[in-house]
Amino acid sequence: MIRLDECKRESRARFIEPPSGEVDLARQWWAIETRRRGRRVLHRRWAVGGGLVAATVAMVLMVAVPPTNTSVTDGQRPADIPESEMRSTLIESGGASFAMYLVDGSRIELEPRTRLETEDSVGRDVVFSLHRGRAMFDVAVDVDRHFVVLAGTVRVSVSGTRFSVAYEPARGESRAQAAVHVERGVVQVDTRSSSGEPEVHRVGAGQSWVGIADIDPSDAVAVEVEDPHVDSQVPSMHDDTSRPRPSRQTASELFEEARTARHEGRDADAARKYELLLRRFPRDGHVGLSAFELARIRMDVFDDARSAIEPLERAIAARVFREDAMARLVRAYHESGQAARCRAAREHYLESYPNGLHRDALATCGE
Amino acid sequence: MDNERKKRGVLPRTQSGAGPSDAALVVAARAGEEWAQEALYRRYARMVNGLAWRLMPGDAEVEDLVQDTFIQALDSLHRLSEPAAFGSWLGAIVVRTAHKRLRRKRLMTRLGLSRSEPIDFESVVSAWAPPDVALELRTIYQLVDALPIEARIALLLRRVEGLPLGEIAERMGLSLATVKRRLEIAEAALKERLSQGGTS
Repeated sequence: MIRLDECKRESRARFIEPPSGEVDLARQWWAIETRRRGRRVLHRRWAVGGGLVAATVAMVLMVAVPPTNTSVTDGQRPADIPESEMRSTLIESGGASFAMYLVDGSRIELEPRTRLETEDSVGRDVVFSLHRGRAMFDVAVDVDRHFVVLAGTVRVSVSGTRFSVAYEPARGESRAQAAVHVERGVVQVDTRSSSGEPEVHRVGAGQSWVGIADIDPSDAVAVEVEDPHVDSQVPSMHDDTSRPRPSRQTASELFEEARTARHEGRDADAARKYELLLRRFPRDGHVGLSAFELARIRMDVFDDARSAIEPLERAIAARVFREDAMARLVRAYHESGQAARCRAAREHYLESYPNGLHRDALATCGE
Repeated sequence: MDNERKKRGVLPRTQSGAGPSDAALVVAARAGEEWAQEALYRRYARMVNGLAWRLMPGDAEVEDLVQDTFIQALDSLHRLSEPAAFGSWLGAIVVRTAHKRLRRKRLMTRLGLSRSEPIDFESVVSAWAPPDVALELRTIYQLVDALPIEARIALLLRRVEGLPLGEIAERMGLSLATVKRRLEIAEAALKERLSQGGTS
């Protein structure tokens, strides 16, 4: 039998030390702060909208999914890029379907070979991306929250509804397609017409919507089907090979379109473009300015200070218009009735900019 | 507290000149004082980075482990019943978070979703370690991947960190009896390796 001493043994730790320097520690602290801020925003949303999906998923997968057919990947933000990118979770069913529950009682059921990812939410939405396959969503009623499913360029937003979304990625000459079928309630499907104009489809119980989902706005095609008995699997569409294959917009293109829309007074369009840029290109160099502009639109045009908080934090993390963004953050907390956070944000602003431009204007915020 | 000094990262001085105690910093951090949170980080960053590295040497996830540890600690300060014990509480968070990561990595490797990279001893063990210590450390790190994870962690905390059994049990959240059992497995395997000259 091996005898184990109770006293402390000599530590060998000093012979195994990581290569850390002062610069690394400063960057590490910055990354920790940024992630904590992102978590506070995310936790507020989940508390309203549905709880911690990642924890729910992990629990369900350990119980319900045959391990040989399942992959789970925890997406992690890069360690060396100064952003406020949040952690995402990829959920993939293998050969069997499985269901999971959110804390608010919403249920999500994935059919076999389905791939779903939680997204960095914007505002107070709870957002999933369906990369392939079919998932059924039974969403608990919550009038203050939008439950959103993205399938390519199609966006489905619901509250208190049971519906399914199917998505088939583009393959060879075939384009990506999406189909939405509603069993209970009403869902809103946002897409684009063939002329590129945004279209909104309200799909009721027993109805379905089917359309292309990988398109440049000028190539949008949507077919609405109202027969309640229609097969909600994605049909094969006739492919017009004479049309040029649509390509996804770049971050620069989205940014320029957003700026043009803003200059022309189309603030809602501009906000959508900025939101899309932030969602699709979270590491792009335009993120800071897009986040700042989005926050300004939400505060100044839509009078929605609460939904400006998250993009302001992203702008601050990206160090874009930092003083202005920090001052706006104080105002946003004040206008949304969060006095304690307002005072903390004001303190932070005054520490960073003791003689700042906005010092006097913020004097009474949070009181 | 003077804002200028806070901005410069200078902690308030106590009469002894040593700066605020951990308890004082924890209390201030709980109240939302960001300077106190950063002060706690700076005070324990090297400890956490070192311990994380020794539990998962050369692993690409070490940085994430360190960040996860501090995020969890700073977000859970309200759960710390003894603010003065912040250091050991933080050490326990490192150990348990590393445990979860190691378990997940092992599962991913078994599922064929990731590869297990061998430890590069030359970059892990210090060049100025005495030969017998270097041999022991290399043998330990050659062995750990083959051990059950709890045995691995118990062995590293015992042989590398030099912690007493009671503290190992506290950090791992296990009973003393369980820690002893885990260590027996690990020490037996280590003894056998060392008797073979430390070769695999």
